[in-house]
Amino acid sequence: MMTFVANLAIRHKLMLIVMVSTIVALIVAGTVFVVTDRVSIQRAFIQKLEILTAVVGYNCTAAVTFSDKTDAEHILNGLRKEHSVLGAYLYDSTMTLFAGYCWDKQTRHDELIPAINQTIIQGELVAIARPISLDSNRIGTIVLHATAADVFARADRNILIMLLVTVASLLVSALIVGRLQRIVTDPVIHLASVAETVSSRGDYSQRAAAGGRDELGFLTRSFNDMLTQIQIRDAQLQKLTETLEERVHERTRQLELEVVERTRAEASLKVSLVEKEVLLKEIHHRVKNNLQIIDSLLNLQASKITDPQLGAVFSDSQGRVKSMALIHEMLYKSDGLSEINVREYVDSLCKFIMGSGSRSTGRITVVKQLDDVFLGVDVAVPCGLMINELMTNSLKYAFPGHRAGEISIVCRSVDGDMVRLTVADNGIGLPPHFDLKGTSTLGMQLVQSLILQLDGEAVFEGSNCVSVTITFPRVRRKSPTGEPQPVAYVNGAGQ
Amino acid sequence: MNRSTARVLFVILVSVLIGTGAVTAGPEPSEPAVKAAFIYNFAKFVDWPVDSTSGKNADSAIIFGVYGKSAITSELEKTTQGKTVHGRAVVITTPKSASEASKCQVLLFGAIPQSQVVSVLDSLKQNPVLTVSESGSFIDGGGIIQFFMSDGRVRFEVSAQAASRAGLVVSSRLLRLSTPSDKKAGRQ
Repeated sequence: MMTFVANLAIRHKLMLIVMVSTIVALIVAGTVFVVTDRVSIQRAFIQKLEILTAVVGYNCTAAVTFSDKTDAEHILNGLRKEHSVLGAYLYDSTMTLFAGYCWDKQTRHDELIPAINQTIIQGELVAIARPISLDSNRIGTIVLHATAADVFARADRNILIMLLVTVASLLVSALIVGRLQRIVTDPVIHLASVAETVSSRGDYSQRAAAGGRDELGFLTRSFNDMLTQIQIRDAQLQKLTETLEERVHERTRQLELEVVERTRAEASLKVSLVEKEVLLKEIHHRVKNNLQIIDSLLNLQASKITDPQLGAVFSDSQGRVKSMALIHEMLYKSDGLSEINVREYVDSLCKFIMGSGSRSTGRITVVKQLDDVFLGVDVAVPCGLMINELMTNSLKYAFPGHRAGEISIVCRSVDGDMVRLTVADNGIGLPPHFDLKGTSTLGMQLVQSLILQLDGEAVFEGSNCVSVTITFPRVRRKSPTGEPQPVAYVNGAGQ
Repeated sequence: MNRSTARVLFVILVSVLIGTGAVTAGPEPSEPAVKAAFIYNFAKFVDWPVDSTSGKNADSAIIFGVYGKSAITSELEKTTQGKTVHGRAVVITTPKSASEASKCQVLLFGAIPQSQVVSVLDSLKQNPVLTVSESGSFIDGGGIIQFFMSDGRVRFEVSAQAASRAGLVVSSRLLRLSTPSDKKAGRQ
């Protein structure tokens, strides 16, 4: 029920409230009126009858006194004009009926005789008894019978009239309320329709017509103010958006220009890179060629030498030059032109060394355990020279006579950026009291200086077999102090 | 209201009570007794001027006089025994002259010659005395109330003019019962 009322339109709600109030008020007023009316009508009727009885009784005094029945009946017959009177009866002092009047001459109600001065009401029937006195003596009694049917009918008619008036009042009230409620509802409905338009179309230029100085007027003005504020904010937002768009356009244009420039720079860089690569390749090629020329010159020179010791010096130098030339050859053949693979390099170097030292072929084998370690030219050159020196050294001294054995070369990548290189042989070992620092051979001096150049640490073992393990950074780094790293000596014996 | 039931029940009672006029009960009172009662009751429907009563006292007795011999006298004495009129005692006298008669408030003429009646009435003309007589043409002679018989019932005629001349105020209720004696018939 409450939901139904809550969902009603505001004008119907107002109408309902006023009509319910009016109906209740009319019912209360009508009931009070009808009851009061009925009671007062009945009271007035009884009062009138009592007065009538008294008057008729008084008029009948002489007739009763002088026993003039004719006159008494004549007087009583005068009651015929009063339609509500059913009958009137005169009794003498002994309560014997003296004269009577009956409205239809046939019906009698003299069986209902109230006590003196009493009024009896039985339904619609009213019976009144009044004394007839003469000179302070009661000489008789008059009894009047009447019906209140007309009175009740009149009261009933009043109820009907009341109902009709109520209905008419309700209709008039409905008409008036229907008109007057617009004073309240019209501004509300107008405001609601404007709000609907604003909401559905997003049109904030709409304005509700301002009302008076009441709450509705205040509401309307506040609503309009709110719309104005929204419009102002919208305009500001619009302006900001436009500015933002302009800035975005501007920035995009700049970025596009930048991209074009960068693309151009990149292209020129690529061209330049290609040129540099070509150049680098060319340089490495030429260095290799030059080193090969040196090697060939040394070879030519060596062929003229008869002293085998001098020949060995030339051969060592040739080996050193060859090991460097091999690096440059691998560099210009590589993709990056800056790094070589240690595994490939050592393979090639071993082939060369074992090929040049043909005297040991067959009885000395080389065992290689090599990772794919890539080294720059600045590290690869000392590293290559060092392997060349150590292997040449092993071939020269570790297997005298026709002694067989093996040389193992292990290169591992350790601790991320460190490289551990081990060159070992299972030959005769180092001579007793071998002092590395004290050695005067060029090979071992070279090895020491190369270890320093590589910023590495070396471990020499030389009791039964000789093993040299060097740990150095894969990428050359400059020492902050520039001091050379120390070289560890495990065995103080030199070769 | 259902009146048919009442109609059936009381139809006989109506015919008996109203049709036959069964008003009286017991032995019929004699004509002088009725007349005596009437005379006594007349006084109740008549007002006398205050200063005209004897001794000018409104509380003094009301004097009923019987002029000449009448059978009503003794009945009147019986009727008024110990009774009052308007709160005043009742006294019965038999005046012998017109001057005595003028002291009465009610004067009944008994069996006396007509000429004497006329002379007394003449002398009482200006006095507030309610004159009553049984003889015919009493009203014509200037009397106020005259008895006559009609259908075996005692009736009377009241002359309002004579009463007014005498300064008496007769109740309209009594005047209603006055019947013209010459017609000897009931009212219309």
